[in-house]
Amino acid sequence: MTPGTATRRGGVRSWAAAAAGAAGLLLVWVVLAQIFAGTRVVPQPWAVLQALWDDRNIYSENTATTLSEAGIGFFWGNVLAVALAGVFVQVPAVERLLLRIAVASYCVPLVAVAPILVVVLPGDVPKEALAGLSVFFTTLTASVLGLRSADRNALDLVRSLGGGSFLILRTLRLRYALPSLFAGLKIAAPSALLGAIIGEYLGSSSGLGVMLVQAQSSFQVARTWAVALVISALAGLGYAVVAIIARRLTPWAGRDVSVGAGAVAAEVSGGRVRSLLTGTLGLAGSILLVVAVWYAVIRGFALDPYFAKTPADVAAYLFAGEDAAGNRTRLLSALGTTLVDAGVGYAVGMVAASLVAAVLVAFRRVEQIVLPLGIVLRSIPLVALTPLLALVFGRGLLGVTVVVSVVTFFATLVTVSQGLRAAPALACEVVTSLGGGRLTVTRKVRLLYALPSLFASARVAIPGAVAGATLAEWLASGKGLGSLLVADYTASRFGALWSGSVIIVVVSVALYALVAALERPVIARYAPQRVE
Amino acid sequence: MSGVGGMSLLAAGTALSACSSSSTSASGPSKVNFQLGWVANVENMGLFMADHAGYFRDEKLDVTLTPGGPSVVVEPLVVSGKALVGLDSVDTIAKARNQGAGLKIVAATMQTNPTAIMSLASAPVRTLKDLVGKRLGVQQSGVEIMNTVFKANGIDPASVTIVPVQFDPSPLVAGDCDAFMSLLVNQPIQLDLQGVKTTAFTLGDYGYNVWADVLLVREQTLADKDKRELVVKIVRAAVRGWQDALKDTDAAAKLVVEKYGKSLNLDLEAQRKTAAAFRSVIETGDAKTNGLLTMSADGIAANIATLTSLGIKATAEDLFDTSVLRDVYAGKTRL
Repeated sequence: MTPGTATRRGGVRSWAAAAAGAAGLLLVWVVLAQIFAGTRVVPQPWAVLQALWDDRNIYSENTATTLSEAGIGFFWGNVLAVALAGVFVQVPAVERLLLRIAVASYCVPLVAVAPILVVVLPGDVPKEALAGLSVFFTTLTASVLGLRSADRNALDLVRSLGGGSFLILRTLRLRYALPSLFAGLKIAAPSALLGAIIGEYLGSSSGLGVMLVQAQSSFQVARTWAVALVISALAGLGYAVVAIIARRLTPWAGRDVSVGAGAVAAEVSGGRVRSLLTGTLGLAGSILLVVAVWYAVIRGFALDPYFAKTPADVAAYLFAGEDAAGNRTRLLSALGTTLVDAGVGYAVGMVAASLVAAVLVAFRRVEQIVLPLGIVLRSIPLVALTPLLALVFGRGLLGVTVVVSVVTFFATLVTVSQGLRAAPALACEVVTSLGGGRLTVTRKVRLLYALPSLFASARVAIPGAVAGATLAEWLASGKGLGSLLVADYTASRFGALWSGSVIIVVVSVALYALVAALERPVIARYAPQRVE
Repeated sequence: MSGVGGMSLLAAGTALSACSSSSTSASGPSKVNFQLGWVANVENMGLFMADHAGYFRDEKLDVTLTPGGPSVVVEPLVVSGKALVGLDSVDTIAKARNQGAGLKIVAATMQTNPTAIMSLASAPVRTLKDLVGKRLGVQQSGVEIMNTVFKANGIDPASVTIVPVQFDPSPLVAGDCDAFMSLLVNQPIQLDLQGVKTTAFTLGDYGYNVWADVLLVREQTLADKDKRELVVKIVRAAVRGWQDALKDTDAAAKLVVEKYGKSLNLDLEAQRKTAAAFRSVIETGDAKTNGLLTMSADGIAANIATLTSLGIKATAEDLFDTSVLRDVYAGKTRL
């Protein structure tokens, strides 16, 4: 058998698997529609097809609007993230200063920033900004992971030949960074679309988000599903385009003997006291910077104090005045609920996504079924998904956990699969030649190499889970900080809203730091060649 | 807003907030931004009619009717000057005022509050008392309203289970809740056309009587003679637009479907029925005698009474400015 026929056969087989997967999904759909016929939440596929056909004259305009918002956000969000990642790797001090702010950008509640965005930015820019914000942090993390994944021996070699850090960046790091960067961009494609659609909920004359709102509020269930299907298809297309480019540009990914996984967040050299000191300085610097920018935006844009609260307003709400104690109790007890919601969803989402990733890497064909589902869940706004999810899973902890897992699942899945595939082919073959099956390879070799990716996902999933929990509380359970903040928002209680948002951000950043702290000793022990 | 490229970000922002809501050039019409609360449909047919018929142009205005959506933030947009005029309901604006938003209401579109409790005809909930022991689907913004309405009518809010919902009525149809807070003039009609029969009662019957889709502007706008004149012109054009729309709601629905909501393929039948229903809450009571969008002394008193019962502090002089309507109508009751 020549290699050519093998590839062709592989191609035919993968197409067959894809077709079988699609047929399976369709069958599940028809059955579900039958089961739910009385509740009318799941329309039959042909009704959705009919709705697609009926609206054929308006899809191009609405798709163009949304794609342009998502595309601009995707471009700028990713460019800025990659550039910042480069700076982080070259100048670790900057990372210590800005990383927390980047984490914050991923979990600051939309209800707090939306009024600022629409007031400060002109025209369609708020929607583009929301699309950019949805990709920025995941791409930043993926790029840093990639840039730090250069093999230590190779780095030493270039250094010993007299290469400076910029030469290393150009020759080594960028090449090593590509697989991880592309994994980040794959995650970013559906996220940017979702960000743009959520942006359209702020008001727009056209766009797929507007279509979705109109269809849902008019109880046009088939049309709702049709729009959701188009959104998912676009997200899948974005994912596929990135994947094809990735395969062209990084043919060695997953095969190269030397490609390693990433290193941990920048390690502070020197003693314990010194690292404590540097850490404290970095924290103080981050806080100072946030406070300064916060004031600058409010003063610079002359934002009205009724909706734009300053750090002093937040401090006063929480610590001064006779209501402060009551205010704190109200927010902190809601925070307790949110932490439970986020914690359970985080654990379930991480474990589920990691397991699925392990199965995907061992049995590649499963990918054709799981990935589309992941993309669907990641690109449809939860406002549209929740009525169905709540009906199936209820509005208690189970329902909330499902929503939180939906938010974190896809990014973890993609990042961990990429990490599992990063194991050197040579090491995998050694285990195979010793009689190990595919799962043994995953267990003995791949997991070790995927550790950095696992930890990167574990870090990224924290702000994701918190954001998901607040969303689930608003949309499904009606309890916790997520619900409270929306209530404050609709009653114009911006002091409470901003204070609650600050609490969410502080807690997320702290938890993120905790995982990063756990990560260092583990990586140092199991993958010491990655620690710089 | 294209000429800000060279300036620093902050400087551009200041310029934006200073002049984006309205600007007058020596020759051309004044540019005005009017912020709506929802995506294009017949709820705003009067304004679309005013635009289509050229009533804004007659006033030398170049008005942009900016659509809203589920996450729109009308009050901050008006307070910051990004929109000269916005639409929202009286209680929301009163709450914003109490938090320091310098806003005033100058005209009122819906004279009867259309907020209703809708249930399936197969399992009807006919009165407020019937809700006891049931599950009520309410948007977050409605929870505080429901709680106060319950208390005012001697019902323990804890005896009703609140189910968080959004603008999609499917939780009611699917049985995830027994009743659903909606607009009398909208969701029941949409559901009926999809073959779901419903029954509904309004919260107005239980003391919730605030105007909806009122026109709000900031106080500084009214204090500035030129800008106040812009507001008078907008309200005048809006009244004329609404008069036309209500005279022939079918034609107004057709206009919305074919022009302003074109990118949404709105259902003409649904829009016609909804438009006819909107007439019943707009052309009613004092609006019949005083003219559309009116704010009569009795009406204001009823609004203040509702706000007080909701626990929202407000006075007629602070919240409402009737002088704009006086200038608009100039003694007449129809334009």
